[in-house]
Amino acid sequence: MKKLTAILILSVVLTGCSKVPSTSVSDSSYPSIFPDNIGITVPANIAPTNFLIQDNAQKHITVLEAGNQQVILRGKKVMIPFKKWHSLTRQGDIKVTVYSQTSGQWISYKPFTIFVSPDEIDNYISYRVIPHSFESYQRLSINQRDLTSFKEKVIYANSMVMKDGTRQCINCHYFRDYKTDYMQFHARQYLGGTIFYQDGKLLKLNMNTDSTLAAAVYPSWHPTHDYIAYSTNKTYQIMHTVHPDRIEAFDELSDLILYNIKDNAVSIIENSPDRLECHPAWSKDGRTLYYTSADYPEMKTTNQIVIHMDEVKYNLYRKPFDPDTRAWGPTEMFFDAAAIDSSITWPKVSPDGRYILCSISTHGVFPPYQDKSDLFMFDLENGTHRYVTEINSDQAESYHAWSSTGKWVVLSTRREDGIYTRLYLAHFNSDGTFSKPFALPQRDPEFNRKFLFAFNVPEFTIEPVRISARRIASFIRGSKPTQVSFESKINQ
Amino acid sequence: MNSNNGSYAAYLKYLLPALFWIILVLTSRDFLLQVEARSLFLFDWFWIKDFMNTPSGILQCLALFLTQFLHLPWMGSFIWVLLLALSAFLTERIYGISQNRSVLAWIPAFLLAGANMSIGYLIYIMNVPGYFFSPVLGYLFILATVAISRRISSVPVQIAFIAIWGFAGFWIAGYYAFAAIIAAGTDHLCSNKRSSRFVPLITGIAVTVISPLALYGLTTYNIPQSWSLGLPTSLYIETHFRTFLPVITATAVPVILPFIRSYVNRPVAKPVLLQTSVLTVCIILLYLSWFKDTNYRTEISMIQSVNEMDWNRTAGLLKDLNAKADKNKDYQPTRVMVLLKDLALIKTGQEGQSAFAFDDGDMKQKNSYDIPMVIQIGRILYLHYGIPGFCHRWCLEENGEFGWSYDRLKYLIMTSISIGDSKLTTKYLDMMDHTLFYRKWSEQQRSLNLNRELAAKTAPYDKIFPLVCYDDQLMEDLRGCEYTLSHHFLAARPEQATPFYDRVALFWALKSQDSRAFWAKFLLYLDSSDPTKLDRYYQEAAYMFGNMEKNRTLMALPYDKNTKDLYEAFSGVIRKNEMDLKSLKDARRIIPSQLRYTYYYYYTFVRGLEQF
Repeated sequence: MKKLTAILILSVVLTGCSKVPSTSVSDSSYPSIFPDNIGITVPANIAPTNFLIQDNAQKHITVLEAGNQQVILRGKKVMIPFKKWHSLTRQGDIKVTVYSQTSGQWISYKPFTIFVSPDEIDNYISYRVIPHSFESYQRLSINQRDLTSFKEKVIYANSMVMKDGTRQCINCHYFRDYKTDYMQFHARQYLGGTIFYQDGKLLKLNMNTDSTLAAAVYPSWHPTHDYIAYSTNKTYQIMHTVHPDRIEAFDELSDLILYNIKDNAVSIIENSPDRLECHPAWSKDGRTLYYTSADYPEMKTTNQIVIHMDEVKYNLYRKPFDPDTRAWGPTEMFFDAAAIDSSITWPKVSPDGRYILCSISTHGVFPPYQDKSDLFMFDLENGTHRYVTEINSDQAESYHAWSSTGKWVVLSTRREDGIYTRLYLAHFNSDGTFSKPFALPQRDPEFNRKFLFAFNVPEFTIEPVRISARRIASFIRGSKPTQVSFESKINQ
Repeated sequence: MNSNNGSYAAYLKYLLPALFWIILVLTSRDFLLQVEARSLFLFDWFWIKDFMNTPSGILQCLALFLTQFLHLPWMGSFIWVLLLALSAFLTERIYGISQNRSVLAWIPAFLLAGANMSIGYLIYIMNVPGYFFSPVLGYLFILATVAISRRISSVPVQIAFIAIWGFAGFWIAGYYAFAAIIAAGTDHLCSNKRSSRFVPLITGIAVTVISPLALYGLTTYNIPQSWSLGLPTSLYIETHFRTFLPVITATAVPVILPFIRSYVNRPVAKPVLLQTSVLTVCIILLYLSWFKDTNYRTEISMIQSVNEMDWNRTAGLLKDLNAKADKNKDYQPTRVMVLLKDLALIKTGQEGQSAFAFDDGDMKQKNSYDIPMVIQIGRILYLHYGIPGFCHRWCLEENGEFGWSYDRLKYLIMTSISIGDSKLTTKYLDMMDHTLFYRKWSEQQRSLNLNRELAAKTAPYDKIFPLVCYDDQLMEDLRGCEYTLSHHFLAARPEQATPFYDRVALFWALKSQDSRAFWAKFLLYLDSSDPTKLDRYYQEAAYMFGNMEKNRTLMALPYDKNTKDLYEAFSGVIRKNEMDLKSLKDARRIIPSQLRYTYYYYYTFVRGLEQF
C-alpha cells in the first residue's frame, strides 16, 4: 500500500512538472540556448540536438512538437531521448517552445523551428582529437563518431604505442570514396610512416625519397585510379606576441607529388622553385587536379617568409591529368585570390563535381590559426564564386568536407570561443546555398564548452572503420616502413 | 613492561604525525602551495567523468580533490599526514603487528612521505595528476582490498573477488589495484586456511598480467604503461625510477607482511630498542630524502611570492639568501632567481636603484635533467613583461604535457585579459568558477574582463598593459626566455612606447652590457628625469661607458660622488689584481663586498652566463 502511494505521488509530481504551463507571459525574443539550434536544418537520421537554456530562471519546460507528436521535457539541459527525438524527426520540422519560470511566473519564449531535411547524412565522421597546444601532443587520437548516436570510438591513438620520452604525431587521415576499406594516415616521428589500410592489409610507407622534398602530407585519393596526390611540405610555426591569432604556421617549401599505389612509387606533379604548392584536390572525374599555390620569389628563407608573412597569398590552380597515361597538361590559374588580397586553401570538390568549397583567409596556408578565415565557394557550372556568408562566423572556419551525397558539409570552426576548433554540420540546398549550420550533437549540450580538446580534419564515411585500434597500434609498433621509390617526371 | 611499551607506541602514534605536520607547515609552506598550484580540481561532473574514463582516473581525481586543500597549507598537509597516519594504523591493525613492534607499521608511511618530499625540481614536470596524494590513497586501497578479501570465507568467492577486483580496480586505481590483489593473494597464502592456498595469489598474478592485455585497445595506453598507471611519474623517463621506487617499496610491504606475520605478531624482548632503532633509521632516511637545496627552496618561494604578487618578498628572499651566503665564495644564485628578482624590482620601481645590489650568476640547478626555464617560469616572465601570446602558448603546452592546473588557468585568464580576448577569458573564468578556493578571484577577474579601463588601473594589469604597447610581432623562443626578453626589449622602440615600457627597456639595455643599446635608452631616460636624481645603476653605467668611450658630454652629467668614488675604487682593485681575476668565482673572492654590488662589477665579471 505504501509503495502504491509513493508511486502515485511520484507520478503526480512528475506529470505535474512535465505539463505545459497553463498560463504564461509571452516573450517576443527567442530563448538564449547553447549551442545555437534556432532555425537549424538537421538530417532525420542525426542524433538528438540537445541544448542548454541559458537564463537564470528556476524552472524550465521545453515543448517539442512535430506533426501529431509532442515531447515535453523539464530542465535547463534539454536532452531529448532517442526514441522521442526520432518520433519527432519522422514527422518533419520540429517546433520548439521554451518556458521559463522565475518567481512563480512562467514566460514563454518565441517558438523556434528545427527544420528536418529528408536528405540523410552519412552515418560516420572521423576526426582528430587534439589538445589545444602547439607542440605537445601526448594524447592525440583519430576518432570516429556515429552521427546517428553519441557513440565514438578511437581509430588510433598515439598513446597506444608511445613510450616515455617519445613523441608521435598523427594526422591527415583520409578515406577512399567515403568507404573505410581503403584509408590512410600519417604517423610522424616515433615509429613513423604513412599508414595504409587496403583490402584488409596494413602497410607502413616511408614516402620521403631522395628526390622529393619531405614525406607526404595532405592527400587526395584519385576517384577512379590507384593514385593519391599529396603535397609534401616543410612546415614551421611561429608565435604572435600579442595578436589573438596567437600562432602562424607556414610552409618554407612545398611541392606536389603523385603516389602510384600499385607501383609503390611517387612522382613529381609540381615542384617549381619559385612557388609553394599545396592542398591537392581531384575533380569528380579525376581528370583535373586542383591545388593551391603561392609565389615566393623573394622569400627563400624562413626569416624572410616570417617577415613577409602577410604577403604569402595562395591562388587556386588546376592541372589536367590523364589517369590512364598519367600525363599532365599545362597548369592554369583558376582563381587569383591574391588579386582580392586573400589566400585560398583546402579546395574540396563536391561529389557531383559542380562546386569547390575552399577556405579563404588573408594570407598563408593554415587557416585554422586565423580568425578571419572563412569558407568560399566556386560554382563551376555558372562560373561564379562567393563567400559562404550563411556558414561563416567572426572566427576561423577552416577544414571542411562534403558528405557522400553532397547534401551536407562538415566544417571546423572556432566560432564558440575563438580557440577550440569544433565541428558543425550544414545542409547544402538545391539552390546552392547552405542552411544554418549546427554543432555536432553531443549528449551533454555543454560538451563543446567543457571539452578541453579540439577537433580537426573531419571526414565523412558511409561505413564504420572496422579495423581495431589495437591492430593498427600493434602493426605500427611491429613494422618497419617500406620505402617508396621515385619515378622521374613523366608525361609532363 | 607491557604498559610501558604500549604507552611508548601510543605516544609515537600521536606525536610522530603531529611533529611531522608541524615541521611541514613551518618549513614547506611555499612548496605545498606550489604543489597545489600545479593541480586542478573542478566541481564539475563533466570534468570528473573525463577522469573516470581512464584507468586509475578515479584515484587521480580523488587525489586532486584532496590536493586542492593544500591551498591552505596547514589543512592540506594535515589531511595528508592524517592519511599517512591512517595507513600506519590500518597496517598495524590488519596485519596484527604487536604493539611493541608497531613502529614497523610506519615504514610505508615514511616511504610515502619521503617520496613526496624528495620531488625537488620534478615538481615542474610531474605529469600524473594528483601525484601528491595518490600514493597514500593507493596504499589505503591496497589495505582495504586485503581487509575485504579476509572477510570472504569461501575460496571460490575470494578468487572471483580478486579477479573482478583486478579488472575493476585497474580503472579505479591502476597500479595499486594490481598491488592490492597480489597483497590479498599473499595474505590468503599465508593464512591458516589450508584449501587452495596458492590459487588466490596465482589468480592475482594472472589478472595483473592479463588485465592490461585484455583491456588494451579500450584504454589507449600502451601495454607497458598500463602496469604503472597511477604511479607518480614525470616528463623524463630517467626520473621514473626515483619517483617510483619509494612508492613501489611501500606498496610491497602489504605483500611481504603476511610472510613475516609470525615475526611481527610476536612480542619482542627489547621493544624500546627496536622501536627506537627503526624509527631513527626512518627519520634519518626521510630527512635525507627531503629535497632541501637552498636555491630550489628559494626559487619555489619566489615563484609563490610572484603568484601572490608580493614583489617585496620576492626580491627580499634573494636578498636574505645573499646575506646568508655572503661567506660562501662559491655561491651563485640560479638564473631563475635572478630573473624573478629583476621582475620584482621592476614591479616596485627599484630596478635602477637595486638591481645589482644582489649576487648574480648562473648556478646550475640541483638536478641532473635540464628543465628549460620556460617551463619553470616562462608564463610568469612573458605575462609580466608584456608578451601575453607567449604566456598563453606555454600555459597550453604545459597543460598538454602535465595536465591543467590552477596556476596555468590563472595565467591563461590574465593573459587573455591582457590580449583583450573577452570571449576566451570568459571560457577560462567559467572553469575557474568550478573551483573551491578561486571563485572570488575569478569574480574579480570577471569584472576586469568586462571593464578594460578598470583593469588598466588594477594590478597586475596596470603594469602589463603599458608593456603591450608595440605592434604584434612573430617570434620564437627556442634560445630561452631570457634571451627572448632581452631581444624583445632591445629591439627598435615602438612608436607607441609608454614611459613604463621605456623604463623596462632601459633596464634590459643595462643588463645587456652593450653600451650602444644602453645609450639609446638612456638618452630617453635623461629626457624624462631630473639629471640630479638619476637612479644609482643608470648613473654607474653612464659614468663607466662615458669614461670608456671618453664621451665628454655624458661625463658632464651631475653624477653622485659615490658613483665616481666607487668607479675609482673598482678600477684600482682591478688594476691591482688583474692577474688573479679570471672568473666570476675569482671576483667574488677578491673584490670587496662594497664593490661587488656595483654595475662595474656586473659589467666586468658577470658575463657569458648560461641561459636555458
